[in-house]
Amino acid sequence: MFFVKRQIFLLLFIITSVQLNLYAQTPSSLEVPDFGVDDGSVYNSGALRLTWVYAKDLVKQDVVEFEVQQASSSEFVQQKAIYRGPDLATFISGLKNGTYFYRIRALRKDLEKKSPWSSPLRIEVKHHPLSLAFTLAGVGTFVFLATAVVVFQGSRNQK
Amino acid sequence: MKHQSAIISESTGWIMLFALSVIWILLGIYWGKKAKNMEGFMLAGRNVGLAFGVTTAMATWITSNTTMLAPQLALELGVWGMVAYCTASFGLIMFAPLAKRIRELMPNGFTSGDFIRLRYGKRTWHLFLIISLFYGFTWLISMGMAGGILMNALAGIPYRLGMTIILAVCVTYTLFGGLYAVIGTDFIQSLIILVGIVVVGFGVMNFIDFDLMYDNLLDERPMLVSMLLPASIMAVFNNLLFGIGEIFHSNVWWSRAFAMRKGIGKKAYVMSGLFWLPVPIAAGFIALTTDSLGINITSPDMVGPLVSAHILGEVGAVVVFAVFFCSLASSIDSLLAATSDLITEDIYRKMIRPDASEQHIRKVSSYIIIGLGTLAWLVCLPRISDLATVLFFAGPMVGSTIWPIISGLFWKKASTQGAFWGMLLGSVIGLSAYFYLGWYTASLIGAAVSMITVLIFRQWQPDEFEWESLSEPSITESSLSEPSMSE
Repeated sequence: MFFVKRQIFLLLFIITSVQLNLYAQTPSSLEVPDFGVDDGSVYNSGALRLTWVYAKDLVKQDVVEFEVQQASSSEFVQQKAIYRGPDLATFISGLKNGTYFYRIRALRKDLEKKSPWSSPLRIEVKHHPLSLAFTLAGVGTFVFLATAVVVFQGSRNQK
Repeated sequence: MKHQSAIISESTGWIMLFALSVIWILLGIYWGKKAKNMEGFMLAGRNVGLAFGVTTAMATWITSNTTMLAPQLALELGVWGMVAYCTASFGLIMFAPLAKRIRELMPNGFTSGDFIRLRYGKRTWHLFLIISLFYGFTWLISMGMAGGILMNALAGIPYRLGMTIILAVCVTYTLFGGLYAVIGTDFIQSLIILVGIVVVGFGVMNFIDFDLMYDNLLDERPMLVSMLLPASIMAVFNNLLFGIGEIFHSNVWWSRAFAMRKGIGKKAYVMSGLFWLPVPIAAGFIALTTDSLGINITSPDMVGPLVSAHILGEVGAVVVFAVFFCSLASSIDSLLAATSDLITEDIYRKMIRPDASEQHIRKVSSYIIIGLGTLAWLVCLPRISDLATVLFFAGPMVGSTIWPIISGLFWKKASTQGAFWGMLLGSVIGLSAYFYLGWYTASLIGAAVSMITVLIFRQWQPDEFEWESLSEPSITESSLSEPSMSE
């Protein structure tokens, strides 16, 4: 009787071990994507290309999607979803002056699993001063008009 | 949100690519038969009429930069970005009086380099050649890259294969037909481009809810509809002067001025500028619809092809494919021909073998076309950057050539020193602006610095130039007098 019990115990142990081992091979949570943009970068035109990297095999199999959120604080209290899909980048433009935070997570379509959110990426938009823009626009207007005068006057004088 | 998968199947893409390639090569061979001598090969016999003159200027100027970069500027810099791009048409319009003047002063001229050499001497000529070849090459690379990116985005054709094929096709037909082939194919290509843009325009108008589009922009990209976006205010004049500099200095446009019949150049350039003016608005506007259509843009230079293909569906994508292929081919061929002329004439014939026979020059010209294509292919293999970054890097150098060119063409007192230092200082200070302020300031600052330098030297060290010294004998005439020609 003791021998039988020991055998049953051994069998249960083996089954449990195998199951645990199998479970260990399937990750309980997905890996967090990494942003390919430097934290704290400053952009003067209000446009940036936000990129991220992820396990190539999963991306190739087309089983993983990404969700990107934008917020004005690192706590993401008032966040906005700016992208959800399988691409590895999104182009953002037309941002006003300010500090923006981005976070990303991966979603596995077939397993219905989500990775935790990445740590926030902080970027700063600092447009050039309008005084510089108008000064350069003034210089541009002057150079253009002077060029036009030389060309058209020169052309008229040749007739 | 839709992601960036191919719009048409790879097999359809390959069929399109094969068909367009065969058509252009056959047409190139057909038109190339007209090129009986070197003047025919390089300048289409100096006998191009108005219709071909207008379409070749327009098709060459509607490049990947118009169809791909105009939408990129709109997506990056908003409404002003769109306006900024269409200011490039002023370059064509303002070149019209220059084309007439060039034809009068240099009836036997071949290249823009010829003018700088005769007008300002060797030192300025060498600097000009560096600038012009650098610019020509960056333009060529930006378009080779655009070909690969486009075919990959529209049909899933691998980037390297698409880029290789479009470069190979353009090299082949330019090799067979020279400027005859370039101008002939430009004529058909410009018709296809115009029809395609009208089709896309109507598609957009029927598909887009303009109120929704505006609300989306206000919500998602508010600065794009603001009139006070500083980068875009600067970009307007930067692009305007970049376009003027590109056209005023580049041999692509000078070779056409030499190729057109007397009295044609001025009209052809004005008309092509006017026809070209609305194209960037039409091409750029569609970029502002991405949010309302829910299209994710991973790379800003692909926004134009992707949005238009999404709006028009699979059948429309075939039209878009043809339009973009034509806009690329019409510029790559022009650049190959004009840059090879510049190297053949200004470097090989003037510096290395002044006594070379016409047949020998023709052979060298062919090798240079192949060499240029191969070099561009090698640089394009790794997709290095986006189109704007590649192209605008040449901006300050190009901008710095405007004043040396116009003052040299119209003022006897324009100074050799002024032209040299104008180009040098304009390029260096403009490039500093590129790195410290942004690409959208570089051409503007380069042109302004060059203008001030040219004016200062004209005042302090004026030359007294004799216009007659610009008139050189033609290659044919000069070659006939050379013993090597009789071989």
